[in-house]
Amino acid sequence: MEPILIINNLIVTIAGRRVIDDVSLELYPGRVTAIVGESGSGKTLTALSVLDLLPETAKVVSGEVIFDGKDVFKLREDEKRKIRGFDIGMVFQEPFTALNPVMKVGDQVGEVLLAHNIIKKKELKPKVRELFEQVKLSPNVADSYPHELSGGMRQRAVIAMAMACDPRVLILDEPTTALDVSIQEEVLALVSSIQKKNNLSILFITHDFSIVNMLANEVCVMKEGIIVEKGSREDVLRSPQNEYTKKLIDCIPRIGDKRDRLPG
Amino acid sequence: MVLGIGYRFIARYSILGTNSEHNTIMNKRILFGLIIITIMALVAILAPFVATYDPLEMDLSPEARLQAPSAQHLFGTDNLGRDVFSRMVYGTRISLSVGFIAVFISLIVGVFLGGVSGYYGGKVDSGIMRLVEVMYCFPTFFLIMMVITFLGPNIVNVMVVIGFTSWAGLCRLVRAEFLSLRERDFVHSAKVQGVSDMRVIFRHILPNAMAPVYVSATLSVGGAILVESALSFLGLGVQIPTASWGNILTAGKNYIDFAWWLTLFPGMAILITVLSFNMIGEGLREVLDPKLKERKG
Repeated sequence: MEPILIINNLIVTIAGRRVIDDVSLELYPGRVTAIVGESGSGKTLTALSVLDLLPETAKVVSGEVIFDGKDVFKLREDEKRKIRGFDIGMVFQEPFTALNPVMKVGDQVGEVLLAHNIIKKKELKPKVRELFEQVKLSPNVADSYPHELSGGMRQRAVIAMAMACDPRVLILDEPTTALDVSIQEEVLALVSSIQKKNNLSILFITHDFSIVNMLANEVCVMKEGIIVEKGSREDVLRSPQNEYTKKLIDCIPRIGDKRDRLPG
Repeated sequence: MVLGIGYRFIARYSILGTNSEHNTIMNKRILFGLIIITIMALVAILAPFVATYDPLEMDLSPEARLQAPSAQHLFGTDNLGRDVFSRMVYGTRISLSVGFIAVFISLIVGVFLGGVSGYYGGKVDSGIMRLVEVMYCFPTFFLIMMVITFLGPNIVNVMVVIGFTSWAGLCRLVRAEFLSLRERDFVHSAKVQGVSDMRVIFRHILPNAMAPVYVSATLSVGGAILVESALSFLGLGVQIPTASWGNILTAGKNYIDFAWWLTLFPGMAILITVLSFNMIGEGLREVLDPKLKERKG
């Protein structure tokens, strides 16, 4: 099977320091690839480079991102914009800040549809309501402002936004980190059901191996900008080769486990 | 426009405001200003019905000239026997329209340049900021006077020139707001979804940057009215015989030792109007600025 998204030997520097160092990974259609690592390991930057939306201070030194056979870095600005949101959707970590506080959430979801001209203005409302139902929100939520919603509801609205154009790839940047545990579970179940229904490819960024265990097919472990281990979920979880990976896996709490929670 | 915005804020903050005592005081201040400005606006719109005489009708007979205020001539008559009250009623039109239109022009220029400057940064930003610094270097009032002498004094020129010379402050204000807002997650989020730059600027960032703009614009309306009055006073603004508060003052200054009504009433009108705008502006600032609220509350 041909990968839908390939990152080849990507090197990104900020102020001369390599924050992404020779990263290569592949995402296959209908599969979930998880990038796991601690804060500052470069996992979010890797995701942003896929959309060529790195912060201004970050420079791509070498490498390429190939989506659907095209090198993203070589596309014109308007071609990149067509990919963003239309082919590749993205969900951010913080549902509290990812929505514009002075715009109704329904309008924000609708805006994505309008930005890519895939719908006429008068068909917008029913389509937005349908999207809200898809993420298991009441369609009436569309008329609310973000401050009226709970964290879980906001994150669902953000997922609805990312799913609006029925993208082929979804990038989820720690979508559950800011939510409490019970809501985490629901959001992950939602992501998993959408993934199966739409045969989506997901690039899932997390620091939590228990989430990897639930969702991922392939796993990349990143540390200080370098991929230290890469492989299928079973291989990495059962027989981790790298010391760092072992420590991360040891962090998963288990019932009846008497060890200290933070080894090493 | 200002009325609508004002009422929206009053409605919003009197419902949502938890710090009710503090908010009530603010609302009173804004309300006072709004009432005065509403009256002024009604007078301006309904000028033909409010005015008791034709503002241009002269009566040069000695007993008609320079009459003191009376039931017939509320604010007296001027040196050409014209009714001062009626002239002032028509002058309200000039002052308010100059105030609003000049500020409207400076808002458009300032918000657009400030927004582009703050959003794109880099070379665009430094280019626009140098332009702003150049604008700051000119003594604005003399610049306005000079341009008006070239273009010829009339009300349209006055509005346009005041508008195009007073946007620099707004531009800096909007730029500063944009610089901080463009790094916010919801802006990144919109960009990630492929929303166009202009839409991100005007639909996502600008509405979140408007609070200080409302305040600054309201205060500027008062400032623009003052500049117009000063220009008219110097003979560079609205030309006689058209009445404006400034040129009624000019006519009155020669008779100030015995015809006090010629200077007192237009002077008071300017004072009260500018004061009202400043009160609305100050009130809005205190209602909208969360830092100020914290410190006082």
